[in-house]
Amino acid sequence: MKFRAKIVDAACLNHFTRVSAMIAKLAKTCTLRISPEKLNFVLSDRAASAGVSMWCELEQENFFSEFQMEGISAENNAIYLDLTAENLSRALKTAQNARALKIKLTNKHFPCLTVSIELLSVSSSSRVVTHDIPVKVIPRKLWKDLQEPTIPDSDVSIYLPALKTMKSIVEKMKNISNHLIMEANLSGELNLKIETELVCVTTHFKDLGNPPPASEDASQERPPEQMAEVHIDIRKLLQFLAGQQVNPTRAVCKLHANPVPFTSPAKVSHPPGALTFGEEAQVLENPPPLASWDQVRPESSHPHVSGELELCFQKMQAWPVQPGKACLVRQERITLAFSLV
Amino acid sequence: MPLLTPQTQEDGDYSLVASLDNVRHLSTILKAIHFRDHATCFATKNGIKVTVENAKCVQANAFIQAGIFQEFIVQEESVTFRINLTILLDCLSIFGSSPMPGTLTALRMCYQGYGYPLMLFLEEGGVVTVCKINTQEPEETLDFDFCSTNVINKIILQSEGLREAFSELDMTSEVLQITMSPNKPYFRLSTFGNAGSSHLDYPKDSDLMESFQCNQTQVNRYKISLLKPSTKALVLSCKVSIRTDNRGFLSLQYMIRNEDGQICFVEYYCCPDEEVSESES
Repeated sequence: MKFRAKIVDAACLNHFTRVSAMIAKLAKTCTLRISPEKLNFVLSDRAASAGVSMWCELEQENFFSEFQMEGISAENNAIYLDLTAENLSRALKTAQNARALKIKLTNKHFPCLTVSIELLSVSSSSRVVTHDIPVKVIPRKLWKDLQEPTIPDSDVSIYLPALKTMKSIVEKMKNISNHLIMEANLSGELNLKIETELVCVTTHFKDLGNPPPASEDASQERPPEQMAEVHIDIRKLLQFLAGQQVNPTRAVCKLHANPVPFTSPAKVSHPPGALTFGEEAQVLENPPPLASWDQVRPESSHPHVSGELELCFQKMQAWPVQPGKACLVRQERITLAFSLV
Repeated sequence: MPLLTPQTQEDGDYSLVASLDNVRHLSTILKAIHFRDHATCFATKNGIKVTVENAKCVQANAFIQAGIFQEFIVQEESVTFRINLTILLDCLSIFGSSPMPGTLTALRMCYQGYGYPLMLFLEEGGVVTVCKINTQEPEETLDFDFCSTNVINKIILQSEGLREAFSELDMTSEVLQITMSPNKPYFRLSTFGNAGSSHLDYPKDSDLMESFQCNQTQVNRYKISLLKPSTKALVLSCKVSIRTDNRGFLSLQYMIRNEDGQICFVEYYCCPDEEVSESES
C-alpha cells in the first residue's frame, strides 16, 4: 500500500485547501478514498452525523503534478483512510502561498498521512513544514459501506438562486423553525417555506430556469406548474450553505418526489421524497449535462427517514495545468445526502 | 394559504397598509427596543408606535411616523395588536441584516384587523417573501404618567458621550445611580459593584452637553438590568434627552436618524428603585 502525491501549482493548492476547509466544516471525521484516478472524501455514517452523508470527488490529475498510488491489491486498487477533517484542513492552511505540497502515506509507529509543505523563503534555502495526520486504514470488508450513493432520476430539477441569498434566508428561517419545506416545479419556481404556530414564511424565487432533463422519459410528463415538495432539517441545510467555500457560479437542485424503492416500505409513514442539489461553476460554453451525479441511496435502517435530500456540488473550470496542454477542465463534485424529516 | 400576490387584495379590505422602500428604516428602529419577545403595536394616521415592557418597571416606545412610509393607510381611528417582535424582526431581515450596497428590500405590510395575521410582503431583487405572523390579544400597556410639567431636571447630550459609559457599565452593580444637580457634580453616573464604586461625571460646559436645565439636586437609583437594554437605542441615536420628574421617574429619549436623514424617536421610561426612598427615610 503506497500513496505519494505532489501539488506545485499555486491555484491548485489553493483550491485543494478550500475543498478541505469546506469538508472540515461539514464533518468532523471523514473517509479519504484514494484510487488511481480520483480522490474521494466520503462521509457515510449517518447515525453519527445526524443524517448527512457526503461524497466528494476530485479528479487527481486536476490537482496533482505527481501522483503515485498502489492499493491493497491489483484488483482492489484503492486505499481507504479514516481521518479527522479538521486536521487535514489545518495542515493545508499553512500551505497557502507555499511553493509545493507533498502528501504521503507513512507509518510512524502508526499510519499517518504526512503533509510536507515547502514554503517560499527570501533566501535560497528552502523551509519545509511537515504535518503528520494520524489515519486509520479501513479494511477491505468495510469498503462496501463507503460506495457512491445512487438515486433515480429526479422529478424536478432547477437552478438554485445565488447561494449567498439563500444562505441569509435560510439563516433567518432557522431562528424561527427547525424544518424547512422546499418546493420547486418545472417552470423555474422555487419556494422555501416554514410553518409554525406563530408564523408562516414563504420565500418565492422565480425564473430560475430548469436544466434540460438528463433522460428523455418520465420526468417531462409532469405538468410544469406542479410543485414537488420535500421537508428538510434547516440546520443541516444551513451547515452546507454556510460551509460551502468553492463559490460555484451556478447551482442545481433536484427534487425526487417519489423516487426511492424502499427495502421496507411498511416503515415509511409519509410518501417518500428526496431532493438533490448540484452545483457547477461554469466557465465552459457548453457544460456536459448534469446527469451522472444525481443519485440518492435508499436508507431504510433509520425509522424516521421518509426520503432524502441530496446536495451535489460540482465545480468545473478551464484550468491551465501544464505547458503544452492549453487547458484542462477541472471538475470536482461534492454530494451530500440528508435524511428528510 | 398565504397570499401570493398582494395586488389581488383590495387595499380597502385592510385596516392598516404600509409600504416602505427600505425595510431597514423600520427594522433598525424596532431592534432598538427589542429586549423582550413581545411588543404591542398602535397605528394611527400619524404613524406606528411599538411598545415593549418589562417587569412593569420599564417601557420602551418606538415611534415611526407615517412620513417614513411611502404609503400609509389606517382605515380606523387606531389599530392595536400584539405581536412577537423577535419573529417580526427575523421576518423583516429575512434577506439579511446587512444587505449589499445598492440593494434595498422593499416592504408592504398589511393587517386586516382583529383576529387576522399581520402580512408582510418583502421584495429584494425580484425575490418575494411572504410572511404571515399571527397577532395576539393586545395587552394594556403601562401609563407612566410622565408629564413635561413635572420634569425637574433635563439634560440633552450627544449620544457618543453616553455610549461608552453605557457599554462599560459595571454589571455587577445592581443599580445605576443618576445624580442631576444645578451644582457640582452636575451630572453623575454611579455604580456600586463587586470591584468597588465608580462615578462618571459630565461637566456642565462639556462639548457633548447640548442643553443643561437642572433645577434641583436629584439622586435616583435604577435597576441596571432594566436600563442596560436601552444601550441598543443609544448606539443608533445621535442625541439623547435625559429627564427626571418629581417622582424620580426617568425618561430617556433617543433621536435616531436613518440612512435617508429622516428622524425617528425611541423613548425609554423607567421607575426608580425603591430602596433609595427606604434608605433615605
